[in-house]
Amino acid sequence: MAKTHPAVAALALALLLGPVPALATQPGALTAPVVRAPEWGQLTPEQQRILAPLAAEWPKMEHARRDKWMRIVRQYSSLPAEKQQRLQSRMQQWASLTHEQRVQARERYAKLKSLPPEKRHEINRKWAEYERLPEERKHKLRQAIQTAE
Amino acid sequence: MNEQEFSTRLARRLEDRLDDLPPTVMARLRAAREAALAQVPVQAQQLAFAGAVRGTTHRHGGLRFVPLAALVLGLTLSFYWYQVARQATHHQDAAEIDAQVLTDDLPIAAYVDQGFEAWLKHTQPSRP
Repeated sequence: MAKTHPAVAALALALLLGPVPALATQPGALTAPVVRAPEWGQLTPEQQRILAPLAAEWPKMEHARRDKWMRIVRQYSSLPAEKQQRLQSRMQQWASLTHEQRVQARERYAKLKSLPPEKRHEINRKWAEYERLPEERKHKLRQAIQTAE
Repeated sequence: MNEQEFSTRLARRLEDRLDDLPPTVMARLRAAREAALAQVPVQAQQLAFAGAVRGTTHRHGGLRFVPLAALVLGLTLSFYWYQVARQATHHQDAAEIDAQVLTDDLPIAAYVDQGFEAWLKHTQPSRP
């Protein structure tokens, strides 16, 4: 009986470990465990206060997204008051974006963040310029980039 | 011929002749074995039985896969926990980036408005 074990064990190992490299390249594939996040009523009063802008959206939100907000709440207390306020004021807008828009925003943020401080300052200045442009001009710029794509 | 080779050949010769033993010798061997087993504790008997009687282990067929089942279960559990840890790290990283975007000097619109992207390209000083 001892002779059959190494072969069977090797086969079992191969079957189990075979898909690992493939799964490792696909986040959330196949065996990804399901995330459980609390309902609104289960949040502490302090968590409800921080997440107040999302109160209406919370019941419709999938658990993975709620989990992400809970992680953001954990960082909230370590932020300066000004950033806490900014974060709360932007929650609704962020939650209303599509998944693709959020992915795009994260990518562009990472790209701009990697720039040297003087370049970042320049970008901030250009944003102020862009905001002052007439709506018609902004519309044309959006169309131009969509055509280029 | 050294001692090792001699003992190997002797053992092989003895095994080859095992099937040719007369029935009377077999019966005496079996009786001697049973008499010896009668004198040892029950647990040791079971071990001796499991180890000595080849070809009858099917009686323990259910038990022979216990180590394999334990191995498969262990690997499955460790793989599952690896996924849990990886997903948690991924969510934590995404949450940290989100918090940074939400508290950045630039508003969210600056990161999603394609017009601004075009404006940056448009106003970029042309390179030689």
